Amino acid sequence: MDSETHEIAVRVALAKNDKSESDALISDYMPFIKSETAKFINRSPEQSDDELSIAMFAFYEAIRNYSKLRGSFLKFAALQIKNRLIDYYRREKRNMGNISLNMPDEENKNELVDTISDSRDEFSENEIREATKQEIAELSAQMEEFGVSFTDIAENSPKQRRTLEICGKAVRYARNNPQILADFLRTKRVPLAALADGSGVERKTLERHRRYLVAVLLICTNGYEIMRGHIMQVLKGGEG
Amino acid sequence: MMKYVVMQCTKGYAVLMDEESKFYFAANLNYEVGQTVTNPVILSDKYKDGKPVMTIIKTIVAAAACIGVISIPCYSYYNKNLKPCSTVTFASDTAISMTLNSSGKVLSIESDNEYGSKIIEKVNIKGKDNVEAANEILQAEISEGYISAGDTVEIYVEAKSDEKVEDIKSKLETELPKHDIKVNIHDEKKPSKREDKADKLPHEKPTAEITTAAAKAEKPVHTVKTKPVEKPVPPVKKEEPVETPTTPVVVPPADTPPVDTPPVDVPPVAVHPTDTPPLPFENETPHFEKNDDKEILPPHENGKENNKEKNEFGGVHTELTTMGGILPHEKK
Repeated sequence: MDSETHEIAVRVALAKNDKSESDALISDYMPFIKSETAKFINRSPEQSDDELSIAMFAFYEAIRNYSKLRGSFLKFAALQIKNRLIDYYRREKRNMGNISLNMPDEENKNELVDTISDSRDEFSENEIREATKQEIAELSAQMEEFGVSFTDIAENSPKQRRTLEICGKAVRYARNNPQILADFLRTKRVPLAALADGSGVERKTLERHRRYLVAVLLICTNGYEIMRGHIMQVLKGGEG
Repeated sequence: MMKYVVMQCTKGYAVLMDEESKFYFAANLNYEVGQTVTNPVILSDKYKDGKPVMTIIKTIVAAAACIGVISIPCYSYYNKNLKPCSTVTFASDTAISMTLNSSGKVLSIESDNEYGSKIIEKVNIKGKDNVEAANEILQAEISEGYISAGDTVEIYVEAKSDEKVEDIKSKLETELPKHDIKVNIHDEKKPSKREDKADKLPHEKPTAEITTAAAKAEKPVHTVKTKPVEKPVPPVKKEEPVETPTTPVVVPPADTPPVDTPPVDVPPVAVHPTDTPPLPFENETPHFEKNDDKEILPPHENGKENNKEKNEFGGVHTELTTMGGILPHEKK
């Protein structure tokens, strides 16, 4: 293994658990990512191209899933990018019958999207987006007090339906017992024992998804109306 | 369609939350935090290091299916072609035994003697049908002189089921009489070698168990030949007459010339005087104990050694012990 390969392997190992390091690695290898994308789309990709975003995401996947047994990192990443782009094109193929709103109209003067009357209120939508953004920022700040980030939560989120239902049951129990939520905010610790006993679920399952529970329990507390509205399906699950 | 809220955006990915409160890594397709999106490109666990349980289960199931796919035809092939199902034994000098599979083909052929081994070397019947194989064996035996025209060959068929035995038996019965020999086919096991050996005398060349019917009829009965007694018959000890006077026993004198006695099958005769009650021991049947090594003769009533002796030919010189009677030839 030459020194360059060894250096990449070391950086990849660090980037696996460090978000800033992974961002730095992606920035450093952006020419490589663009080159692999260009091989696939047969042109130089622009920053706004979905293909480039997919390729960057595939590179990030390669960082997460790489191990020395897989050989050279760059070869592995190139393969990952290629596979991701193929998957993306296959998915897009399903929508082939659909007409893009960005297509020019019959007179080739305007795009189709300009001819459709917009029933949406763009102004209110922007307002909602801004409010959501603000809530998310507050939530992120509060989560930092608990020592978790969105990346952690995404990694710790339940993958299986059964686990998700168990966690949902515990969250619903906490929502119906404000004292538990108050204790959670005061102690900054997830009351696993109270949740397990009260909701009748296994404590071990809750322990495994502690960081995920932090985010959802915080959303259940006051101050996150938009977020709570988004996941109302889960929160109402046990009330019907 | 599921809606996702963009919670975080980085260069490589975005964190999304769906309506079921699940969080995902997804490709950042120029998203902004707070944006609601549909159809994101979500991170796949396809290339993850640790093998998920389902993958392992799938691998095991696939492996089991592969083993099943391979082993079931193999097992049925083995059962049909390679598993011993029946045995056909020729009860001749060669003592050839054929092992057959379920379709009646010869799997193996063996013999426990050199005559059989010679025949086995001569014929090549592995894989052939049992009738064809039996024909070849008989042909070889005829050509080698172990059997000849007019002989009867005993063939024993053994199988797990009666139907199979009947099947093989009927085929052999139909096909084998092409030769000038008579074939007796039995649906039972051949008599054990031990019994065979016991029947043969040690000095004899092993003879065929194949015998013609005529030969069987003329087969001499093994009898013990008796030779004329050369020694003078020792005088029978004169017994004291019991209570009443009886007819005196005529004892030949010591210098009586030897009489050529034919094989005697006459039982000992006890002559009792009329009106004389029999002695207590006279009603008892004489008891002879047989022993392979040594012939134990019944002791004389008064405790002396019996006067039966083996002659020089191995025959038994029988001296009749009379109980007060006269032998027929002595009457002369």
